[in-house]
Amino acid sequence: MAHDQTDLLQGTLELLVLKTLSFEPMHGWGISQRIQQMSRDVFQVNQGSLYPALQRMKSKGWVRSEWRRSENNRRAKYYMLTAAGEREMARERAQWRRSSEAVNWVLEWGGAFS
Amino acid sequence: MRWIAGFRERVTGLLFREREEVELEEEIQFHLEMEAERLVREEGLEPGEARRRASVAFGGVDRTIEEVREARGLSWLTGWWLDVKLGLRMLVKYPALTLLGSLSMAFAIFTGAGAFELISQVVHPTLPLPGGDRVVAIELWDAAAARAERRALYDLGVWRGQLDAVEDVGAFRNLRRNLLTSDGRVEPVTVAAMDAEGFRVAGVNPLFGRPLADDDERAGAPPVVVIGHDLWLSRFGGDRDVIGTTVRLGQTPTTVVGVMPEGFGFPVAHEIWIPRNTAAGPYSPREGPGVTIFGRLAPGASLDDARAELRVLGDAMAAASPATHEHLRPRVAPWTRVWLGDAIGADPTALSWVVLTALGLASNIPLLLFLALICGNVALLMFARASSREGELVVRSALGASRSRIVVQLFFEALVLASIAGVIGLGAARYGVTWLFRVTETVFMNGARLPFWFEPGLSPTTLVYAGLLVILAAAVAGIGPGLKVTRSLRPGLQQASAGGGGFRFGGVWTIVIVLQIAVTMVFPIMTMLTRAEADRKLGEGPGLQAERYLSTRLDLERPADLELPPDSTAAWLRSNLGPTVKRLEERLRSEPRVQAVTFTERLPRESHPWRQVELDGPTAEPPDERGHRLGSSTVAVGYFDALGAAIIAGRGFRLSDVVAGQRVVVVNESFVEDVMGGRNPVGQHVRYLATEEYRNPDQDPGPWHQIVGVVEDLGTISGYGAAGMYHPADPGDIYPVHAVVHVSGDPRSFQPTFRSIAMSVDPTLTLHGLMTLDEVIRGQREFYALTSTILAVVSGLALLLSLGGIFAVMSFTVSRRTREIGIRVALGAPRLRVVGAVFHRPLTQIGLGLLTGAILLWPLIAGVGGFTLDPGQVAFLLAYIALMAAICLLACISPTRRALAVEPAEALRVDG
Repeated sequence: MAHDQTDLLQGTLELLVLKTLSFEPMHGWGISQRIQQMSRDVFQVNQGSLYPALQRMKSKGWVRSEWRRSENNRRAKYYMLTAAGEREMARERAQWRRSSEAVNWVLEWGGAFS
Repeated sequence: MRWIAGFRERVTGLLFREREEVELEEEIQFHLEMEAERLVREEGLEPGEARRRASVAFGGVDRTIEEVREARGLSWLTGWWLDVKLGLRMLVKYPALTLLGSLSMAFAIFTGAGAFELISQVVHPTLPLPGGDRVVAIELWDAAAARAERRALYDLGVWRGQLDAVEDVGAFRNLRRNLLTSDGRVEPVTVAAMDAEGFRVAGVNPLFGRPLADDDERAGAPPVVVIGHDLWLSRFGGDRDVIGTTVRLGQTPTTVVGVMPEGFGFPVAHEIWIPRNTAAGPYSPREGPGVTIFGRLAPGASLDDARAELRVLGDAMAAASPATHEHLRPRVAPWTRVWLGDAIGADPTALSWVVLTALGLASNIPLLLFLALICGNVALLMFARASSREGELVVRSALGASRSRIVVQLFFEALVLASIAGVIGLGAARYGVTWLFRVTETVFMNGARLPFWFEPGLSPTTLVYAGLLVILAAAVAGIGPGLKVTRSLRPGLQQASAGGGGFRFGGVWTIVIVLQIAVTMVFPIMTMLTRAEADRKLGEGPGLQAERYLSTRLDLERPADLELPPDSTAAWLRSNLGPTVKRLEERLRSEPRVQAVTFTERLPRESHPWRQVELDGPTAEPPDERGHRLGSSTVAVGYFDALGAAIIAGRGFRLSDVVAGQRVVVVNESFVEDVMGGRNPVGQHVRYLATEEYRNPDQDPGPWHQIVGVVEDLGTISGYGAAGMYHPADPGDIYPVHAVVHVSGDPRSFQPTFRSIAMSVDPTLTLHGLMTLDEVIRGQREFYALTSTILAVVSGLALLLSLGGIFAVMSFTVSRRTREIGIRVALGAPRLRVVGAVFHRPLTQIGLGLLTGAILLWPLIAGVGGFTLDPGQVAFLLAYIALMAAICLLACISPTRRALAVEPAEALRVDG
């Protein structure tokens, strides 16, 4: 494994899944692939851990699922965002932005006063 | 909204569990195939290798499935059936634990559910009538005398006219009347002389016929009666043609017009209803007979509305008639509260007994302590058992079972145990409540009935409560040890591989064990003392052949309008009942089958009122600072002869003893023993003391009585030992008065003759509880026998449980140290020192336990609280302590010997 690959931060997996599903409904494997591509292979999604996360989000009402035909004409379970999921994504994004800005500020400027 | 989605998910998961499981596997399969295809396509791997890599990248499939289940919040359910099965298997595998655990939990649930049922019936009774919570009682409270003024017929008229918040306001009076039916039977019944409103307030229609109507109360209306279901069955054979027939109620031929359905007893515990006599009115304020007033809250009106309205009416009345109403204020309360006062003529002591029992059960600290210990003990056993399954749990954990999964499994095992206990406990509670009501009626209320809203059996609320207790018990016994065991699982995993144990009993468990040992000491001793006390109370007088005697309490029907202060009532009864009793005695004596007739205030072994006494000579040391107490009864001169009771010293009563001013008494054998310390009492003088516990604290001591004789014990049960004293009196002067008749042959066959003689002597003479003397006593005997049996069973159970628990835990603790012992011996430590080190902790626990027990027992041993231990009991106690210490040591010896015997090399390999 390359050094530039990072374990996914706890809690961010859900945000990434929400973001992925905001483009289009997708099955589990597709989601894991998309996250890896979107993060330019920085995040290594432990593929198995995706499914409990999806189940949790389903229980919270952020996503729903249905069985469809996949691109290679196989039966696959597709997940899609609900209205509650969209609201949650907006909320989490705002929070992420705030905290990452804060971290950046500390890293960029915090040192200037030391 | 989030919880709705979550709830829907859970319900779907629950209902379509298998489908969800299949779909999850299909989804994961799809994932693995897609990933393998990608690896073949993008990285040019062989299909076999691609599948392997895909599987590695995915992580454990089983683990993922487990995690998804947990995310669904259903993991505990998916395996629940397995857990239940495992729980059942464990019950079979550990029969001793099953027996001990389920019995002790059953006892806890029995006590909890039984007490809950009693408390809810006594403290929060519900009236089993349509809209029963809106039925109210209105009473006039006399603030000056601090009691209810029952002569409220004038006020009833005012309230009927002016109250808006309460409708159908009416009144009833309690009467006792002889009911003579066409088959010639005469038996007294409890009659409610009630306004027709009573049936409207109750809102219950007759089974057939009609209820009382307003017209029935008119002057000159033909007398009518409505009868209750039980009476209809017992006296009319359930005959539907009873409507229109004539019975004689007291002196009046009366027509039956209706039969009420089963369970109906409004106002209180009534079985027969007649119109209230309103012809004698109207009354002036505070005149006329005493009544109890009922009504129903008008639609939309609350109890507070009624209170506010009555307050205004009360103030107006006080202003208008200050002479009578200055201190009188009307009060309104839910109907069932009426019974909490003595307004309806029920025996208030019986009520307070029920209340005290219920409250006693609820607040009985030793009992609560005992329950806590039982739960603690079960938890201890469960922990020991869970610990002994360390290997299994470690493997489960290593295979991916989460901590919560293991705790849930242990919880389910405990739940299976607790559910069995719940069924046993509820069955016992149901029986117990029914039994307690029956005993209250027969023993403590002299055959009178409890109010109709007391229903034997358990209410649905109690069942729910018991269900919660079961879950609580399972949580205490399953989750507690589960958490404790799993906390040490991680080190356990390492140590298991190294051959050692990870579980330890901490300080809390030490306290539990110490208390357990202490309690096992206290309970048997307490039981022993209670049992001895009960035996003493039930001691059979050798001469008394109770089954040969018929007994009954005699009373007179009182005129409907007689309302006198209690002392005048007694005077009225004396002047009217006395001559009747004497005529009855003469008639009975002339019967050929009658061998003896006598009269007494209290029957042998019936509950006697106790009094405190002092003597003019030396006595035994009083049991406590409250002095000597005894039960007393006033009896006719020939009482002892009639009962065949032997005079042991001095003489019995003579006719000359009942002359005014002759104050002589006869005492019983227990008096000689308990009060005199074995000295001869004949010739000594005794008098009653007025104590702060008695009604008149400032009252002077009574006059001195000379003791003229000693009679064998006949049972003057007073709640304070068996000492008793008898006063002589003319039968006409005894009140309350019981007739005791010795007849040849089976006394029961004499009952009809007895009744017809009584009827011919005076038709208003009522015979209450006409039965053989041993039937009277049977209720008492049953009560004491059952109480002491229950105590013995409970103590035995506590003993068994505790000894089992102590043995298991000590044996377990020592066996955990097998490896340590082996290594110490291998390293050359002297065996004795090793044994000392191993025994140090259990011995400390036993020592502390025995010490605590001794401290708890000290009041008993020192004789405080009215108990003293005789040498036999002390010996028993010491033997018991020795036995318990031996059991505890045995629990340690056997595993220690085993440990000492193992080869050092083997000890290193021992797993747990």
